[in-house]
Amino acid sequence: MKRFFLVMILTIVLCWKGYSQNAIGGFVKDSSSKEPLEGVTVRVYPKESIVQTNKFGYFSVSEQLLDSLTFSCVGYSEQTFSLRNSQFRFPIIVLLRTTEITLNEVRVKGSDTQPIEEIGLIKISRNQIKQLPGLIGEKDVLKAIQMLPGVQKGAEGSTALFVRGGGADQNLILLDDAVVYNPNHFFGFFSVFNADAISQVNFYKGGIPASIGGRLSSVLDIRQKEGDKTELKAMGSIGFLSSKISLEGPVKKNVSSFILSARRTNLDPILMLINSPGQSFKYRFYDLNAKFSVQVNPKNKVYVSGFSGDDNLGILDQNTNSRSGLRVSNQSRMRWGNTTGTINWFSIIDNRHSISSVFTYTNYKSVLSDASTRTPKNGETLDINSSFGSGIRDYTLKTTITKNKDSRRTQEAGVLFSQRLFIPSIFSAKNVSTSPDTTKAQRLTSKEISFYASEKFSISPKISTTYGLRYTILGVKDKVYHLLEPRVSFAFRLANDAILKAAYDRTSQNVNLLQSSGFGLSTDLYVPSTALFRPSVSSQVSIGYETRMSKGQINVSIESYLKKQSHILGFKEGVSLFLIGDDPKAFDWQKNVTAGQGLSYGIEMGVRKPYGQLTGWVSYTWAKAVVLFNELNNGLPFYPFQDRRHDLSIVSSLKITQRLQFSANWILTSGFPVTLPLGYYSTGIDNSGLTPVNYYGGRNASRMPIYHRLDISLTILPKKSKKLSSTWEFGIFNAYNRRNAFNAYLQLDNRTRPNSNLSVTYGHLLPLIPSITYHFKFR
Amino acid sequence: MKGFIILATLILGGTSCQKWKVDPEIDNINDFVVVNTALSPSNKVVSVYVGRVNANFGTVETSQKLALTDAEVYLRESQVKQRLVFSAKTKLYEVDSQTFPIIAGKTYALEVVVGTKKVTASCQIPEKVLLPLLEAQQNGRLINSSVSWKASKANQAFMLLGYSFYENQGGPVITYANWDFNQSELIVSVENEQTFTKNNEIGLNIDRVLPPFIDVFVEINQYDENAQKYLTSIKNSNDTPQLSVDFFDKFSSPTIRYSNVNNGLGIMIGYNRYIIKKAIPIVR
Repeated sequence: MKRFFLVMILTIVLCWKGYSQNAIGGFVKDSSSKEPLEGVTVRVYPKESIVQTNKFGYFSVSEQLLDSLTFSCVGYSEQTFSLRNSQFRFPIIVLLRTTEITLNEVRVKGSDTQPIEEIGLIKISRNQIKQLPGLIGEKDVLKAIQMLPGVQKGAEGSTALFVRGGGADQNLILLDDAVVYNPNHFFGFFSVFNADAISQVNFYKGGIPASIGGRLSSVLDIRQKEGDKTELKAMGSIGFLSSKISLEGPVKKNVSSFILSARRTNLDPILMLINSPGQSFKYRFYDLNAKFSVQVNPKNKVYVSGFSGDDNLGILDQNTNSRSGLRVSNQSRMRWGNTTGTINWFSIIDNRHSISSVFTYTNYKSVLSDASTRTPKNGETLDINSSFGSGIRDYTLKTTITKNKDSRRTQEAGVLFSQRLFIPSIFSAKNVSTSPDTTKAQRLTSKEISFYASEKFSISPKISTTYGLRYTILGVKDKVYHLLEPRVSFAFRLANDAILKAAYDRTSQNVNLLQSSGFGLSTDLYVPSTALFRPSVSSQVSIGYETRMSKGQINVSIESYLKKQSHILGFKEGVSLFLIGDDPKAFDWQKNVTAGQGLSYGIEMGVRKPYGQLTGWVSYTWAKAVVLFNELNNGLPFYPFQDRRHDLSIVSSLKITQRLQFSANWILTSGFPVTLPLGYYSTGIDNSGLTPVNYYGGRNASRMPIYHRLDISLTILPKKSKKLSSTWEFGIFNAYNRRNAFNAYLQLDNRTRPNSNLSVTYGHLLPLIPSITYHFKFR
Repeated sequence: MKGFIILATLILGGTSCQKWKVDPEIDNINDFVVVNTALSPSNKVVSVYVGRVNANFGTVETSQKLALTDAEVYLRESQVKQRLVFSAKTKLYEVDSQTFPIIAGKTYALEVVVGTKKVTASCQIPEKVLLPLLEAQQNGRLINSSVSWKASKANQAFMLLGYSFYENQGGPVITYANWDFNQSELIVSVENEQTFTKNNEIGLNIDRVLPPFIDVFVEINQYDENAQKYLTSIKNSNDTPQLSVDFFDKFSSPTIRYSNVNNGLGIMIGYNRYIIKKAIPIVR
């Protein structure tokens, strides 16, 4: 083991070595706000090798063969810098201007699409998210991700993501490198991510970099805006569901900046109208985003960011018995929320080496409480209080060194320390009159250290590869696990506009979510791997083909994948976590879960048109997911909830005039698998011959009806060059009022008639919902 | 593009050869045959229920209405094959145990032919497992007396159903206990006040009627592993909803009832029944 540590440390040191001055690097920024631009493609001529800016907008390339550099990014004008006979001060600063979008088609050069090596990565900008029609006018990152190829949606309205057959807890969601454990507001109908505070979203469903780990299926890397470094701005919106406001600007012009964003529900007055005497229903959520960034000197940059979100639901029921005078009051409360914090320091060591160190803190907690008071007319008041809570706290320190070895090789190595405190369940009960408090709590700690190293290598102008290794030592109570995760991807340029890609990923997961509902409720528990349940492991092979058509204006991609998972967790039969507060045996969650394996495969197709008057994408996925648990379904394999055979999404945005924009989404998916009775039979041996036994055909052997929905929105954009710009957005969610099935239940066809038929009836949740949202922006 | 199609075809072709066959046969549900039988050396009549699945939810039909009367039912032990005859009274296929005895340790195979469909199952009758430790103790005023056992092997696969009897008592006091595979100790509690009253009268003074010793008889039904799984699935089924698409309890899926019947549904169980007597001293 010691030898291995030595090798890992040597790898990092070797990355550091090989010091050379023959390289150039710098930052690429937005010309007006001076915000760093991530993912800008930097083409190095004459060799035509490609590098990309990192999350700090930094790039570094070899100087030996440099003739010129071309910078290109979607939404920005391409810029080329000749380096012959030029004197540059390291690091250079490149400012890109935003493209003036006109109604004329933009001519796109063949070189300005994303580099070939990024298999499995999809980038979504804030503008793309803002163009989508939202549910009740609310733009949502996770809803946008749901419409990408390979991503299956949760139940109606839910923001849950199921990537390539993986479970909802198999997605690592990072906000400025801090893990967000529960990304849900409003029971999962909205995510906690305020689109106004987001700068960039990177979504990996394959080809996951070795520097990122901890989940089996995907990584959603969300970057918060740094704030305008040149002028003070305020923006916000007032909608039916929520209102939000953001303030951003320089602390010291061109050096440091801040952004503050706040969002809150507007539902309180509406709920007050529907509440009746003695019964009240209260709900609110809020979230706050803050970020401060400073360019300490040309080579050092620091940012501090934080997020806090909270949901609070309260139900009060009071009544008095007119005969006995007994007054009974029941108050139930459900509350959950995340808090994250990040401190990130980026430093350029020299023109080849840079180092990034980040410390993150995450705290997620949820409480479900119930308070009951009984006051007899002439007696002592009896109070009975109980609460059920859970949470997870996470501290992580991560350091990554990047080295640009030459124009063909970029190396990265680093180390991560993480400590997590899991509180799967706290149950407390208090009977004020008769008995003392009883509190039972579980606390579990896991410690993790990960080493990772990777290299991007352009073998030839037509072939490039990225390979890396991640090694994690995980310590849980009474057990230490060693997890090795190789990652490798290849890209072959078949023609100028045709690329064949392939990747192999091995990932592991040591944080599991035990969901009772799939709706992000307080009863969802985060539990670690233990001596009994080892970390889940996934291996995925994917191949893809990407080409461009119509003079580069349309990107067409096809990807196929095969994923195998082992040691994934599922609830045992007969267990209902929602009743965990009532069931003493549920305190030991390990007795209620069982481990199994999963297999998924499919083909994903995507057509993207990022430029022009009409923009958008079409994605189609054919997929299959199967799981096998020895203790479930009599040991036979079955389809998990996330198995959907077909999934089609059409996302479009049409700029009708300079000030009028029309957007529409259409979604069509197969129904999710469910366990519905197909018939019944009787048994003759256990004295229950008269009691029918439901025949299900197996677990999840049936399917819900096909789901489809159209959302539209019309946006009136502001006039230019005004101090206050106003945008009006009119939207309709579920435009043709499709009654999509949300749940199912058995119902008698005719309650009054004896011997009437029992049949499966479907419930519906979200009908046609119109919305109006007003957006404003001050300069 | 051609290359991709070839690779994609290879991947999908390879994965289509997966061993995990999932899609259930849910067509022609009415043709599904249900077989239920529990074989024990203590049975005087060996009986098998043969029925069918009803795909309609309409009026719930009883087992008798769903029973099939025209099946060919055979039981086989080694080279001995016995056909069972349908009884119109019980709606079961039966044979006298003297004609076809059920013996502990033997394996029995069931074969049911309905039209062109053949359904099979098998089970082994468990041998009597000796319980090396049998303790009994009185707790308080016998309201909570208990009898406990320790198995000779902790992982013995059997299940116990305990019934205790009070001496001179008219009816049994039913206690129920599950013994899981990994459980090494079982406690059966006698928790019925009526047990301690003479003539089964409720409310009499306990002290007045108690004898110096109480003989507790525990009836043990020792089941095979199939029965354990079957009874566990019934218990789990009762604990979970009948539909999986419940708003708040999505993951609490209905439990599928265990079956060891090939090409059909139902269960074939082997069990061995015997009674243990234990005297509990009375502390006044």
